[in-house]
Amino acid sequence: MRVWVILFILLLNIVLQSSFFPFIEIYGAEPDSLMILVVSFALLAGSPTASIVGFCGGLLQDILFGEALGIYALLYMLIGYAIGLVHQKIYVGRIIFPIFFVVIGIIAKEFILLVYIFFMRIEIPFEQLIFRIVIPEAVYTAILMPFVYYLMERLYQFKFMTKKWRFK
Amino acid sequence: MPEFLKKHPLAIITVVSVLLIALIIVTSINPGAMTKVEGFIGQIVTPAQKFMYTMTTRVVNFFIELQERRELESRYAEQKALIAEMEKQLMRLEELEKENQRLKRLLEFSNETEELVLTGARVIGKNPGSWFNVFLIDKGEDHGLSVNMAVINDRGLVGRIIEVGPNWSKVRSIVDGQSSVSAIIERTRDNGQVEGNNNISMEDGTCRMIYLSLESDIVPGDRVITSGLEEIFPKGIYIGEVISVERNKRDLFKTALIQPAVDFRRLEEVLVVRTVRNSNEKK
Repeated sequence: MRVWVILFILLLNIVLQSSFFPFIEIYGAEPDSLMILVVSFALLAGSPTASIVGFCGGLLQDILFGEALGIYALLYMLIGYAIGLVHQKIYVGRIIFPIFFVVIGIIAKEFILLVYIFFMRIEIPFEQLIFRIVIPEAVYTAILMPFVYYLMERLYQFKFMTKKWRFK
Repeated sequence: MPEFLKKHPLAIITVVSVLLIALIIVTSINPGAMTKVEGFIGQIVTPAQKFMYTMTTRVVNFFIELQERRELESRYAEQKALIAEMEKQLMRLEELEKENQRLKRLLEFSNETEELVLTGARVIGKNPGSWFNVFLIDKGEDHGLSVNMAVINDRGLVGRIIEVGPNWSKVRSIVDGQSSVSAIIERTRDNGQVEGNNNISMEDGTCRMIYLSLESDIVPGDRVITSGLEEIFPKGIYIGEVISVERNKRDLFKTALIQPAVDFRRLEEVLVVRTVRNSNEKK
């Protein structure tokens, strides 16, 4: 059941991201909804779920739009894993920490992409990169984060989302 | 699997990371290696995407931009009329082409066949994020498209196809940082290479024309068209207008900033140009 719910969320996300988001962009900045999902799963369910979600969601994105397969799968998986490590170690509120972690996630993502771009030998102006991609995207994503996080928290109040994973 | 994952999470993450890095390297060296899988998944997701895209377009048109709606609609009609007119012109062009071929044959200049055939396609999705300016169209192999065909709309050159699936294709636009098109200035006939300016989003999309000779006198406002040298793009497709010309001290050539004629923000319908040549010999 939970697997299907997650799969459905991921598919919905990729469809929304590619067809709906171009309409709500502001100055070329689009929110990174997959990052929101990965961070939400990381904070609510921990590393294993988050890295699987990141892997699957990233791979889907790679397959549909990427040129080199695996880059998004890799970075979302790593970010999901890393942020998932704080699961149940700190108290995560509803607003401040989710926003903090999603911004960290965006910065990590852009950094990994920068390394990738460097190896692809594409020249990009660094200043423009910071001001036109990283900051707008981080701000936009951060604004959306609390809403999605609230919904995900509600989702995790259903028993089927937590039942099997917590053995011991 | 969860138990095992819980015991050795870091090991698994490391293994998967290494595998993914290998996959990245393989696919970036040899693009198209995974096309079959992509085709399969693309085929499943495409209808949903198409549906969503049409739905959101409708919602945007009907509810949000009530005021802009009339304007948009008139623009839409205008574009349709333009496309129709363009198709007419292309038919005329085809006629001229045929005549040209006949004359060529008569003169024994060349036996090359150059023929423009067109198919229309609808844009069904743009890549998420702002890094690569690649978008999807709803026609693919089944409709006779193949890699490296040129994509245009009524205003000018849009890009070229980089991957095809059964019922979809990926198009890399000319404003993408990895795109490169051989072009000439219409007035002075100077050769150059038009490259996507950056990887910043489509909205600030401008192109750069490099390798222009120092003697060339190019002024802002000059029109840039394709040169047809690479055998991907047919000759004479309008690309855009020169905004400014500059020369870096260390460079041995001039660089011109170009505003593409195509409005990449409002890309809904495109036309695919297939030439007989690049469907015959696939490289």
